[in-house]
Amino acid sequence: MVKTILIVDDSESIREVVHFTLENAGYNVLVGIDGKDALKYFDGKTQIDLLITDLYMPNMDGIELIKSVRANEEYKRIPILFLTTESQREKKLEAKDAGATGWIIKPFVPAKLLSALNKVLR
Amino acid sequence: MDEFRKKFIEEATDLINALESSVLSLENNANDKEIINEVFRIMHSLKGGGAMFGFLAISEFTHNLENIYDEIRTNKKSITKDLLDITFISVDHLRNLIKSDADTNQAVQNKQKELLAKISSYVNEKTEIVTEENTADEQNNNISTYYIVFKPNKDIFDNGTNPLFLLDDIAKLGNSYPVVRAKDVPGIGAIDYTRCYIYWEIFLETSQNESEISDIFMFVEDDCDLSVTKISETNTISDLRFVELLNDADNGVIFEPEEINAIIKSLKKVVEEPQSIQNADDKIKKFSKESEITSIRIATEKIDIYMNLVSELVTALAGLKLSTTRLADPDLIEITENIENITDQIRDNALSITLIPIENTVVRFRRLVRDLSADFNKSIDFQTIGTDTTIDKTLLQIITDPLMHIIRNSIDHGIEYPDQRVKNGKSPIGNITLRAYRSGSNVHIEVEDDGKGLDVERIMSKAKEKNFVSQETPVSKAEAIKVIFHPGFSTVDKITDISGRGVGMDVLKRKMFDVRGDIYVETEKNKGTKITLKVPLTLSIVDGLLVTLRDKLYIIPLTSIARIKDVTYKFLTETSRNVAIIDNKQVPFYMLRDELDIKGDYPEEVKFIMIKYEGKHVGLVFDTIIGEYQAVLKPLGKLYKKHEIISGASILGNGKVALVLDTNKIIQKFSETSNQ
Amino acid sequence: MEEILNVNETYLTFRLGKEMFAASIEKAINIIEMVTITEVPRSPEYMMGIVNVRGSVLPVIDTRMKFGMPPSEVSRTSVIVTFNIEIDGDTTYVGALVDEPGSVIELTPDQISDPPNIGAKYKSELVIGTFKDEEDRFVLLIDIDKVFTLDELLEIETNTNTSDNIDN
Repeated sequence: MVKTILIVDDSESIREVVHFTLENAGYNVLVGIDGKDALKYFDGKTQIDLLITDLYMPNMDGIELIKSVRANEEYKRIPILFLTTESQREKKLEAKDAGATGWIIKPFVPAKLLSALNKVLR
Repeated sequence: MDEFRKKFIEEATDLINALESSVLSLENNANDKEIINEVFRIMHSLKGGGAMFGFLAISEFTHNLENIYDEIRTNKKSITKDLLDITFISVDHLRNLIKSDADTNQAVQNKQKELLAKISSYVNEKTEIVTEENTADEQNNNISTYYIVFKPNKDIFDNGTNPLFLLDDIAKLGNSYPVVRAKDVPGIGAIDYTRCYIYWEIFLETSQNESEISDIFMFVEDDCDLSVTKISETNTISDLRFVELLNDADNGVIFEPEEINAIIKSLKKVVEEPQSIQNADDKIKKFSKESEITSIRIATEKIDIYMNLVSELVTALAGLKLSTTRLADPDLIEITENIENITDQIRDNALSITLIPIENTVVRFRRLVRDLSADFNKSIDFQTIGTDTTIDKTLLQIITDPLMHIIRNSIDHGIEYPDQRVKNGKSPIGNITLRAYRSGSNVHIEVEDDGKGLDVERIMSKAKEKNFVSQETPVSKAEAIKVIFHPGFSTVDKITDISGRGVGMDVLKRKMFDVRGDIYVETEKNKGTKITLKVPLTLSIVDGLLVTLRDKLYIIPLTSIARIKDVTYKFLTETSRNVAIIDNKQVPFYMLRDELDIKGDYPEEVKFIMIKYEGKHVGLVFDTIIGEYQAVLKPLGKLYKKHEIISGASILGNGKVALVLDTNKIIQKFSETSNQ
Repeated sequence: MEEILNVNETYLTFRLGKEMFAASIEKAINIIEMVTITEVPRSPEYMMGIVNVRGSVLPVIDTRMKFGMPPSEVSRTSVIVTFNIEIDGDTTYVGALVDEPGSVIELTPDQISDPPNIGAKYKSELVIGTFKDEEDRFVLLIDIDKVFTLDELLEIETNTNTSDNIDN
């Protein structure tokens, strides 16, 4: 069965790169433009096998989104990867504490993205 | 990737604009946490995207700038005027960095160095950049054997981790022998399936080094007890003693630490403590919610196609309505009305898509006022009203420069120096207000200042000097003001850096006319000046007057019409040199049937339509007037590209085509030919 | 070589005066029945004007004049063929008034002869080749883009009809 990945980032260019890479890799891709927007997918009906989210976003940031997914009975165990940069060590811990499974360091090339993803989704 | 880069440039442009806007508001609310967070977030986005899409200079630059704002965010530093100045310069610099020549432009690179030096002087201690140790990854062809104990925390499933994936990854590194330890699994009844009760001991023969192994556990470092021990520099799993040991393990024998130690001791060993990252205690405060409008980007071609389909729909509807009226079927009438209603809504919606709020350019004006008031040592309070008024995107681009010019003029020539203002009984702080509002199918944008106003007497003497007006006839104030739109007129004797760059009010006026708009000036000595730009809501819809020449239909934009007069054809043929006397004024005119090569004679009664042209009136003579008409303007296409006097065509409800006349160009062209 | 020879191309033929022409079917978008043409003043004479095609504006040229023949007289058989034309790298639609549409013909490259070298009436860039149609008429296969990008299609100026004689 085709896996569905939800990518949430306020940057359209990042969203598109991830979208493009994942779709080429044969995944079904959903897109959210910020945490608040992404919540609409967690309706109990939509299949989501993995969430990839940015941390800094308007309306609802990545940490809040992760917490909210972990609190959602239907989705609480899905793997969650967040996008971060090298220097954001503290933020990384905060995201892990909130329940993230792992992270992807920006900048990334498609291969790096797919290998990170492969760690949590099969 | 190029496509993504293009996207990023668009996005970065928006981000930089948003940054500028945020920094401007920070100037008045230096302690506003939300704005500081916003500034930080924007820099962070620029940094991440810059690195992603190969704009390394942007990423390096914003990384450093971000550090300062990170310290401000965490209250280690506070905002100073100096810092804001640097940030503004940085905004300009970022704009240069996204240009295509940034990598080769020496000036930009020098600026980068200069600014980075300034920025680094702001950061107390050098912010340490934490890098993942990914170096010394030399492939080791020698096979070693590792002993790995992987004890997941009981709640490891809670963050979406599947430990079996990790075991798979280990297996991929070489020859592995995992032993499952299930001694902690409770009895069937007591099992909570969301907990992880088992752990693994794994022997692994691999040519990979230790960092490759820890990499596998990267995400779970904090969620498990992990030890990775090199027990030999050889492929030990094939060792007989080991095989025995492993068999024992499979039979449920638990390795005693001593036992393992003994074995390890007997082999060459390298023991390394696995690293664990200590928990950071101070958590970064989460961002508060913002009310940012999120939107999607649509390629303009797609909008064009959409608009075209909508106008096809409107035309098709006109046909449907005709047939409905003819057939007079009650059911059909109802359906047609319904479709008409929906079509109207679609048309309005289509139109609204091409419109964007004026607010989008306001940040540029704010910045201009900020920079210029500093240059001139004038304090100015810049207010905006109604900037949520929407306007066609292309038009907004067209009027931005004229508005910048008007604001420059206000600051340079309008607003007095503070001491002068106080002398004149005004507040030392000058006011400039930008007000936008919609009126019918036009948008008005006013720039009003409370400065010294235009010097009408000086304008007049200058105008007489240059023979723009006759020396004797007394001129009203309104007429005097019109003189400033005369080509070549400028009262500025001294050319400053800011205004008077040879771009005068006449150019603004022509620009406004080109888009079927207009410009008005109101001024009062010592009270101030108000300049109003009137522009149509959109370029694709023309409010026009539908007129005829024989059986041909033409549309004249209403904005260019001054007056309409009914005259007889005879009256016009009796004038000399095509100048008619209308209300005691000489009005030159053109017989459009002749000028447009339309055969046949005019009817006895004709329409004399007076067009506003360079401050005068010029008559164009048509057969009849059908009425006002809101026309959707269609370009004539590439083959008619060089055609100047027709700005496009419009398809009427009955399917007929009317040509939209560009009256300015017509008069310009006709006067050229008649002067030859 | 073999492969190239076996590629069949499809062409649309049309009549101008007594002559038959053909253009690649890929360039022809559709054929429109004659409708009222709105003249655009002060444009070259071969530009007949514009027509309304389902709410869009399509410029129409007098193809006969472009080919140096007397101006078109609209008859029962006249139609407007919409071509998709490249001008300065941009694609645009142009309607060409022709006296009569012909047929759609599939040809193998060996059915197409080289254009005649001697005594050619039209510029060599315009003509791709010649062939005989099903009624054994001689058909000139043309590069339709060139009709709109070349100022003059005729090899020698035989006609001064293209401009300047606006009658009042």
